[in-house]
Amino acid sequence: MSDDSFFLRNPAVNATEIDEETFLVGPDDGEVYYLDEISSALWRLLETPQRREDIVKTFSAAFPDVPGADLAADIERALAGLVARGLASHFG
Amino acid sequence: MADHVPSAAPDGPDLWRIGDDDDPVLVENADAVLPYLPYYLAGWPIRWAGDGEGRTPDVRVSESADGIFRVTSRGPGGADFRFDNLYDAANGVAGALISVFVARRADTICLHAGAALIGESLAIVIGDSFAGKSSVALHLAVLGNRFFGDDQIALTLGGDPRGICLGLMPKVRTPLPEDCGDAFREFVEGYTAMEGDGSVYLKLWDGEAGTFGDSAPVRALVLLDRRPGADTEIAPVSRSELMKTLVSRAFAPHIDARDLLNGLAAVADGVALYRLRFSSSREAAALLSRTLR
Repeated sequence: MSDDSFFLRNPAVNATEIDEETFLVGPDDGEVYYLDEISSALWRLLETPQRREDIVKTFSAAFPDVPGADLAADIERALAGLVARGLASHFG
Repeated sequence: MADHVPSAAPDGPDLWRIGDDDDPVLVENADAVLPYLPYYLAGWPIRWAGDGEGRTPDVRVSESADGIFRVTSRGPGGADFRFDNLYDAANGVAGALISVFVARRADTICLHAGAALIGESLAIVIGDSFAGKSSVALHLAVLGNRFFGDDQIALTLGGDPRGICLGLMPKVRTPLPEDCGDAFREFVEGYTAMEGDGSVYLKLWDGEAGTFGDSAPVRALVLLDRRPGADTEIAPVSRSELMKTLVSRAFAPHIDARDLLNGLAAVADGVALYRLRFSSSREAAALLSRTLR
């Protein structure tokens, strides 16, 4: 995967914030998804295109007590989940 | 009990109007299952419809040469099921009737939930499979609260939600739990209308149970949290926490998912939200009944 690749929300996804948690409606399947803390934060971040390393930097600053490797793994899982469900796209 | 069942249909097209007079579900070849329908549904008016005045049936029942009954329904959420006996076929027709009934109402969903009228308003209990919604709803009935459903209820969306009784007969798994209490045991034994493998269907008196179409405002949505050995506790729960379960328990193929989400959020805004932690359904119902009275 190129370092210049980036992630972005799927603009066709409808999002509803309820008590700081995010519920999304999948654009293809019409399924309702709710996001955990990491995915919710990621979703907010992906309002603009984000490179993987920038995402990790942002999260590392926000969660300084979490070991970097754990945080990177959590972010990777969350990104994969968003992309797999068509909620976000990966370009490049 | 399903009302107005004629003893026999005249010769001719075999269509039946089941449900509200002004908006019935049209069922083709319902004859075979009609005697069994009252085991599953209460209060759905049933009338012979002749040729249906040219309307296309919403639900069709057919029997193949090998004795298999097929129940098909059309429209949003339409389904095609096969059954090897008339009891299950009647249960399938009951499900199809509810599906069609709900799908015709743009602001109404079917919620997998239990419900009982506590005072003048409804407490709706939701949870994952085997969370105890049926037993808590029935224990609420044992305590004198009017039973509205132990598996499904229709719910209007928006900030002033109402629950609509679908007339489904309560079903209880057997054997009963040791700690269910004498009153519940007598209740189940006294009202058992049909026994099946590992379960019984109950027929409650009209005053004890809502009938098809009865509706009432919703006062509380209660998220069931059954844990072995847990003390019985009730406490407010966040809207987002309840929404996670509410969304997964809603059946609304006729409503756009975005509208459903917003509609359910409005429901959650308009009523009290609780988490009920328990190990005994009897104690859980007693606490819920005391809390909401």
